[in-house]
Amino acid sequence: MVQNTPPAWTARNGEFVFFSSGTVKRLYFYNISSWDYLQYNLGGTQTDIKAWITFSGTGALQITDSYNVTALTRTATGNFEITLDTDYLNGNFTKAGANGDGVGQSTLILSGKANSSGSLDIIIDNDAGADTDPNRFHVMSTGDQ
Amino acid sequence: MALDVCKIWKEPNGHLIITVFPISKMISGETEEQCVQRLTERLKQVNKYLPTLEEYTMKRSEFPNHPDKEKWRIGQDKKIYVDVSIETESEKRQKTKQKVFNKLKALGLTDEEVNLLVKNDI
Repeated sequence: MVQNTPPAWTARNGEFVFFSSGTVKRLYFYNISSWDYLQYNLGGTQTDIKAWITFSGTGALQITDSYNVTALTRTATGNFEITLDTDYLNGNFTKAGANGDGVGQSTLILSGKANSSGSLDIIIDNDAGADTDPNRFHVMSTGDQ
Repeated sequence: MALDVCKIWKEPNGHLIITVFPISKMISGETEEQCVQRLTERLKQVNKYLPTLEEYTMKRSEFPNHPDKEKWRIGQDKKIYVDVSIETESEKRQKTKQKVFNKLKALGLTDEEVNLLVKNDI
């Protein structure tokens, strides 16, 4: 977390200064006799979602929408690999998922395989523990890139 | 949405792996085939197993209308067909569950009692 580091001088209301520290970028502006800031370049922070996908594993496979996803690969029933555009720095990233619409599949559970930096490898099971292709499923992930 | 053009990878036992690509990845002026080829390079960087398999470029719109993709195979004509003789893991599991169900019924358990033991999808 980058600390608040406003300019050391007193400015006139409305003056502004650009600030950069690693991936964090801020626009400091002098307002009502003190410095305040807006932070941007949010894609570079640790707290943002780095990749997500909504997809269907049934029929001819479908990607409804996605971000930072190059490809969706079905390796077996209920087993999917989501290839990312941009790698994570290492395998210490998180992933989570949820059933989409529940049509005919009231409960689906996501479990992950060991992380590789360039993909999200997931297994989707029904409530009986059987690997299942989802009608619709959402996955998202975040970590250091 | 996904591009119609996709990649199929044939494992040595005939099982098919399917890869689809987001339509949002298309660059202006690029054909679907060119886009898939470009994205496949990235895919092969990440997944070291797929490049060892037989690779096919196909259209999703030409997939067979059969829900169980574990029965999909690729023919000499490089088209996907359905081999209904294949017994999938899911079917084997279902058969085993049915056997257990029948044995428990033979012991005098009611349907409700059996369903408590052999929960779900039978």
